[in-house]
Order: sequence, then structure tokens, then C-alpha cells
Amino acid sequence: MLVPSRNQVVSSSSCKLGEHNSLLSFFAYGVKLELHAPDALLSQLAWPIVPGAEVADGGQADAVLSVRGDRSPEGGTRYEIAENGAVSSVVTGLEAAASALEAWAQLTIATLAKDLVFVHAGVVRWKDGAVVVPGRSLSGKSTLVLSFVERGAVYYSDEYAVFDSEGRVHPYWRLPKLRVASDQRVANSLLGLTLGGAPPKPIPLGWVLISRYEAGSRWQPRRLSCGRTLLGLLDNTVPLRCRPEQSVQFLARAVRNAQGFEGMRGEAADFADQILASF
Amino acid sequence: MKPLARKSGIFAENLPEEVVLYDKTRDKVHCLNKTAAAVWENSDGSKTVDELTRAVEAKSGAPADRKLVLQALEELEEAGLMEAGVVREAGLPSRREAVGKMVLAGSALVATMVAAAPKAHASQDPPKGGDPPPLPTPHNPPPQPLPPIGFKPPAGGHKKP
Repeated sequence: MLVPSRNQVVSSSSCKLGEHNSLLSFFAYGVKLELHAPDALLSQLAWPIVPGAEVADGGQADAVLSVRGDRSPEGGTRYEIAENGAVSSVVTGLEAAASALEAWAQLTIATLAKDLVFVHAGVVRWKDGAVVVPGRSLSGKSTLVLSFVERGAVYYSDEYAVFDSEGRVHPYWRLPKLRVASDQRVANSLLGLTLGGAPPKPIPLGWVLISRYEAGSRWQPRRLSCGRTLLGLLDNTVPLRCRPEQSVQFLARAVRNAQGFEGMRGEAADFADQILASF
Repeated sequence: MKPLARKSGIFAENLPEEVVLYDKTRDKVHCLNKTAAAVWENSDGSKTVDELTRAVEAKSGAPADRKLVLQALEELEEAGLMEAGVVREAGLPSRREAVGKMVLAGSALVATMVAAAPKAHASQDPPKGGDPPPLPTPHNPPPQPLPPIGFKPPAGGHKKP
């Protein structure tokens, strides 16, 4: 579904290439975010941009993302994405700009959400605990998560593990973003119906897998101490620098009863087989 | 001089067997094992290394010796968790002199991680500058958004006028 609500901003300074700019405000995770962007760009975004987002009216925003389109010297359109006035990203092409804007919107919410700590990670539920695989973009989280789900695990997230004050893991309820079209179709058919229902409940952290892909590797992990497991999560924690105490406290509670492992992993399917068989 | 730990601007979280420290001044996270944590906690500038060794034994409940305490002191200093130069100024032999290469090859007592600023997306053009942009924080409040000029939201709908 496309973005359902946007109010047109008629501002000569922000109109480029004959495009109209629009304003979209929404709440998610207790944060109000405003997007100012060309209509053509907003219409590319899938709604909700952030899981659970609700359209907001009036009032001061916690953050503003604005996008300006301009002719690129190489042809096409170059988009500058600014966060609270500071340029944060420059991309060429509408599709890339929509993808970057969505990522910045999600990251901004993840940074500012006051009652939760967001960690870049893929998450599934296995038995009664969350399996969390920390990793940044392009680290293979989505493919891994899908491999777990194909083997019976319950999908929670392919982008963020969301921790509350008790250290429980909440779902980040969106369809996985896979870069191979056929994988995306598999994800849609596996999870499309599931995501139509209510999100699963928060669960305790069970396992943290600090892993890096290496072709041909077999998962032969070493067990991590509680502290080293916590470091592995903190290394991928979004609000660590702006809310260090909260980040450390929430995640310390989470890791107390969890098991952490570190090692190289090979193909996602083999990794998922090994992991789920051993837990 | 007697070892003195740096404690200002540092937040500590106790785990069952370790202590995790967040250094707000340098944006670094440190994981201290039992021995290193006991050394850091007891380095108050009033104890010699021998006194520190006894305090560490009492605190950790595990046998500690002077070599291990020296190793911890040096690792803590390298991590920026001791007041600058304390270990050297105290006239203490360095860990390398004191414990030799075998222990150096063993596992570290202090693990350190730099808290990186978050980044949004990999599929974007290279950034103009080197550093990622500032994220909104209490110190970096968002500006007031531009007001819509000459526009009134349509009643009960979200379509453009």
C-alpha cells in the first residue's frame, strides 16, 4: 500500500524539476517524524514506512527529514536527504532515493525511541527464546532469517531486534527486504499471510549469534561470556552513543540468561540447519 | 605512585562474572573480566601493587598474583581506564617485562569496542564528507519544520487539493 497521507507544501524554494513537495507526519514507537519530499518520491514509499506507524497531525516533530531533488550532471535526478537540516545522504535515482529515505526514517525512529533499544539484527523465535543475529545492512540478515523460518522458526525481524527495559525482544513487524527478486517472492509467500495478523509477543533473549559470512565455512563457534555477548549486541546498537546507559542496562538484562556464540558461517541454509539442530 | 583508576565519565554495569564499562568521554565500551574489574575498582590511588593484589584476591575470590595484576593494570591503561601514565610513573615493570610472551598470547582481560555512530543504508552514493551526519539528540534538536504555505489540509481526507 502506498503512503496514505501527505499534505502538499507549496514552497517555491523546495520545488525542483517542476515537482511538488509534500509533507508526511507520522508517529512510530513514540517518535513523531516529519518527511518533506517530492510527491514522486513519497509515492514510491510503502506504508507503513516504519512498522506500526500512524499518521500524525500537528504538533512539533521530534525530527524532520527533508529531500531535495536536483539534476545530476550525469543525467537523472540526484536527491539530497537532510536530517534536521544536515545532509545525511545523497543518492541518484528515484528508487534509490526512496530506499534511502525509508532507511533514514527507520534509523531516526530507532535512534529516538525512548523506551526501547534497537539493535541491527535479524530475529526469529525458536522454542521459547529469541535467536538474534546482529549485523548491519548487507550482512545477510534477511537471507538468514528466511532460512530459519523455512525450517520452522517464527519470524520476528530482518532489520532490528527491539529490546524493552526487561530485556525482552519485540518483533519489528515488516516483510524482509531481500535483494534477489526470487527470494523476495519466497519471503512474501512464506510471511505475507503471517504479517497480516497480529505481531507475535515479546520474548526473552535465548541466543545471540555473532557471525560473519565466509564462503565454504562451517559453523564451529566458540561460546561467549555474558560480557562478550553484550559487546556483540552493543556493537550493533543504534542509540548507544546518544543513550549509552539505557542501551547497556536493557541489553545487560537481556543477556543474563542468554547464550552467546561467535564464529564464521557459510551458506545460510547450512547455518540454519546447524543452529536449529543444536538449540 | 600508586595506581589510580579513571572513573569520571564512566558508567558501569555489573554482570555475573564481568563488568561492562561505557566511557562517555571516548565513546568506548569495555568488558572487564573478574580480575580486571577488581583491579579497576580497587585502584583508588592508595594501594601499592602488592596491596592491590591482596584486594583483588579478596574481591574476586580467585587466586591473583602480582603478574596478573600488572597485566590488568597495563591493559586498563591501554584502554584509557587508568589516570594517564600511572602505571609507568609508578615505576612498575611493564607487563611485557614482567610476564613474558606466553601470557601475552593468552586471552585479554579487557575487551574494548568503539561505539560507532549509526549509519542508515548501504545502497547510497558515497557521502560528501567523511563522518556520518549528526543524529537528533537533546544536543542537536530538530529545527522547526517549514510551515505549509497557503495550504489547508482537506477535511477528512488525505488527498492533495
